[in-house]
Amino acid sequence: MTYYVTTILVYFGVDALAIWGLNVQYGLCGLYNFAFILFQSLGAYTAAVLTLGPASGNGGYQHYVLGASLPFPLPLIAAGLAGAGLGIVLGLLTRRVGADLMAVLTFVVSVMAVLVVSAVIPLFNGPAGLSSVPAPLQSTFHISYSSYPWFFVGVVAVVCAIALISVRALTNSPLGRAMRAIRENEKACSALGKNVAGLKLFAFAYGGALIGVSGALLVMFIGAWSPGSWEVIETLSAFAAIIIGGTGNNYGVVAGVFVTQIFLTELTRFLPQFSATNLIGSMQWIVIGVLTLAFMWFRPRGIFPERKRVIELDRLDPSESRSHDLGSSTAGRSQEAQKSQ
Amino acid sequence: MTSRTFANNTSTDSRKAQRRLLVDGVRRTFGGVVAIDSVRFEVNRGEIVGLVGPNGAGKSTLMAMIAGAIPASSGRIVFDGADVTRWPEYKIARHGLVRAHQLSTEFRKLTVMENLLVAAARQRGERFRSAVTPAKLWRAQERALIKEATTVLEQFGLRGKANDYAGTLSGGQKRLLELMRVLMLEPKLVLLDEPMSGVNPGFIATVEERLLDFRARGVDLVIAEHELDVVERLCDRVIVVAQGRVLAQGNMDELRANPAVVEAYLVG
Repeated sequence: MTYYVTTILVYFGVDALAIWGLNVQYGLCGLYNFAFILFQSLGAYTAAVLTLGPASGNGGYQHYVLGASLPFPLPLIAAGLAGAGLGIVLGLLTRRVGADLMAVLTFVVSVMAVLVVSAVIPLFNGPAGLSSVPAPLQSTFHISYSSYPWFFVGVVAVVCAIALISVRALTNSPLGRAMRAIRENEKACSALGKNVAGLKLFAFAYGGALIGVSGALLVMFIGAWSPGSWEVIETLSAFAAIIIGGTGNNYGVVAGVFVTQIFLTELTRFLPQFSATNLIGSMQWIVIGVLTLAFMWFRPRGIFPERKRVIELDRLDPSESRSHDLGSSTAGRSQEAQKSQ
Repeated sequence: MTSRTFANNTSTDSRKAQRRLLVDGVRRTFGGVVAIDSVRFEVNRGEIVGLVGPNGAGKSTLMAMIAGAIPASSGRIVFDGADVTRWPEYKIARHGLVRAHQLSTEFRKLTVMENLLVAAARQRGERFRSAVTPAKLWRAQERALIKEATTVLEQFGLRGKANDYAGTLSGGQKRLLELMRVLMLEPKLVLLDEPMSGVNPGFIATVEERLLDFRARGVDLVIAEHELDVVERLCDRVIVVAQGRVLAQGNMDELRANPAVVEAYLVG
């Protein structure tokens, strides 16, 4: 039972973390990142090879690059950096295309990456994947096997708390506002003097870092990662979580994650066996698909829509003014204009 | 009167000081098609210049090129003494040369107030580090911007709409929103592509008044417009473009007396 509860909590936290990343990219900035699962896998592989130690160790039965055994927070940070790096690469790759082509391009890259990782065994041990990834800090603090899952829940909670504070700061800042403006109309944003290319790259990298860290936490918890764990359907279900929860709303998307990843998975687990054996397993995806369609039709802004940012004009303090005050600068300019006439 | 003779009328130094914008021999081809061919004109400080011409003459392309949205194949664009020909659009906009689009480009799911705020330049809260730093670093500037935006909203008679989503505005109000956004950038020269398109006739006078406010603030304007009445009322000088070239320039009376212009545009 402990195992069941802690597993659900860890998955929930990890999925929330990843969905905040995707929400910055898609919900805030309108970037159709259909390589979501590639970011998570890259984070997972990065963290795995940096904790597993040299590839020759352990009898050398696994082949991988970069073998090292770094102390705990470092593999997590490396996974974040790898995610950010991938974000910049994909951002540059899709720099000149619109939303539709961006979706296609990122999707294709994601599919290609699975094939490459499966085929090139020295990279991350091919189709068999990496296993026996050590649990972080277990040996350092001599934590017993029975209490370790709760310890890990704590680690995930701390990472999630830090991420939420940062994501909230971004969403509420003028930077987040500029990203929403890009989502609404990229060209108008550029005409208003916003560095659209730079802002998009930043959103790609920032969201990518969060998704990368989520993959790292996941591989540290399960202890293994193989190409089979990152099918494209995961990307689609992440988008489903955002659409169902509420695009652009940091709390809404967590609700979406809860519905799609936790509630539906656990629900289908308890369904009685009926019809073909494979149908139950596929049930989660079928329901997610139907639910996403239903939301797009009937409630396109999700369970918790993006908050409208109302500013009470009557409560403004009249004594404050902008440093380069409009009143004085325009007066100066109109004098200049009169002189020239 | 051709652009060449106009340019020779004044002495070089005083003209340079007066000059806001110089478009010098600008040319643009798409594939083999010459869209803009050796266009040369100037805009002086304190001027409102009209840009007229038949459909497909290249007015919108020309404006997009001046604003940096479409690169020029050859030629030179000088704004306030700086050669901006190769600058990206956002940098030109920050420098004070802003284009307002032909179609409304409001940020639909941002409020009217947010639409204005997002336009303001040099925002501390827009730096990348705002993703991790506390809000107090930009809050004071934000409050000042809100106050400034409120003043602009009052001037345009849209204060009551401040907290409505921009997507809910009428066509005319969206036009005003576009102008307000441009004002928040504190521009020096604004290129207006068909400011009256999508505005119902009863509202045109209101938009015209607001455009004259721009002049009162010392902002120069280049207006591409089909409604010649509007051009005649607003503009000090009019440039006629046809088939990607400057056909003539002068005031409306002079242009009406010019047989080439009449043939290319006013009648046909």
